[in-house]
Amino acid sequence: MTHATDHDAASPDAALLVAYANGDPQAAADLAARLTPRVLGQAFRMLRDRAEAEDVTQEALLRLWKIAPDWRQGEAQVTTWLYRVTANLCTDRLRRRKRTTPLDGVAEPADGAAPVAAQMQDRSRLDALAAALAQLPDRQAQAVALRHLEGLGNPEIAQIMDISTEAVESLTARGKRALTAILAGRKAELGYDDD
Amino acid sequence: MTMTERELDDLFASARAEHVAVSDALLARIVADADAVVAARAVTMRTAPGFWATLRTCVGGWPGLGGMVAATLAGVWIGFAPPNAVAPLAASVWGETSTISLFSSDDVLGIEG
Repeated sequence: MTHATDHDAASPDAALLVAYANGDPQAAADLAARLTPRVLGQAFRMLRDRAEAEDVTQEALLRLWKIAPDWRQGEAQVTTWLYRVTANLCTDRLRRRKRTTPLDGVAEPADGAAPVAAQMQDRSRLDALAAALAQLPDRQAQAVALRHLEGLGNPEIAQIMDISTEAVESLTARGKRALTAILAGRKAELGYDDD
Repeated sequence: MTMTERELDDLFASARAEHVAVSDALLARIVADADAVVAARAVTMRTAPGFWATLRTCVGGWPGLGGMVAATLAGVWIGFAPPNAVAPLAASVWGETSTISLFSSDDVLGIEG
């Protein structure tokens, strides 16, 4: 982009947020372009539902716009704050889903030509993973998602979840064990016997 | 039959590898939200009453404030230049006023003892 008021791509998110709060109209567009892909990706990997992930993304960024005037630079990173808000919004939805959708309700792999079938199988496995994630307690689901779906390190997750790194390790270990147990019952159905 | 940790890790890796494209429509909604929040904040700031506006409201608007100012001015005026009728009235309410001097008028500094 070559807009005269475009912010440098290296500008910290917090500086853009402060610029937005001070009335810079370009700052919101720049910030949205920088942050939306990450938030949407995180939401989609946890929820496996495009519409829900978009709703969560819009809500997370709306909350960011609202707190912009009170944002104090240097106290927290915008991305850390967004990871936390997005994770909380996703676990809220997963909790609702847990109450309404049985695990068996997840679509099974469909028959078809080989590449299509493989894609469908991949998708089914990922859907099953998301459904299994929804069965975990909220904090376990968040820790597992941040560690294994977002690929974050334990210290960063500790900061996002406001807990110790030991607690993160414990949550992710227990979460993984629980996921393994939940998914074990669906191995054949998800095509693992054929691998 | 249990799922191995390796299979679960592979599943996580597949999930991480998935690209989720952002639609223009979503970006437009997000930027529209940002604009709406700014506009709402501007309206709130414009309509938030200041100190004097709040005071004026408390005393009943302009008529109330005008009455308060008139009463204050009248009080000050009466204090400086009381009308003839006020002095006897004040005397009957508060009693006669008398002045006591602790010093002789000739000896203000008390030098003569």
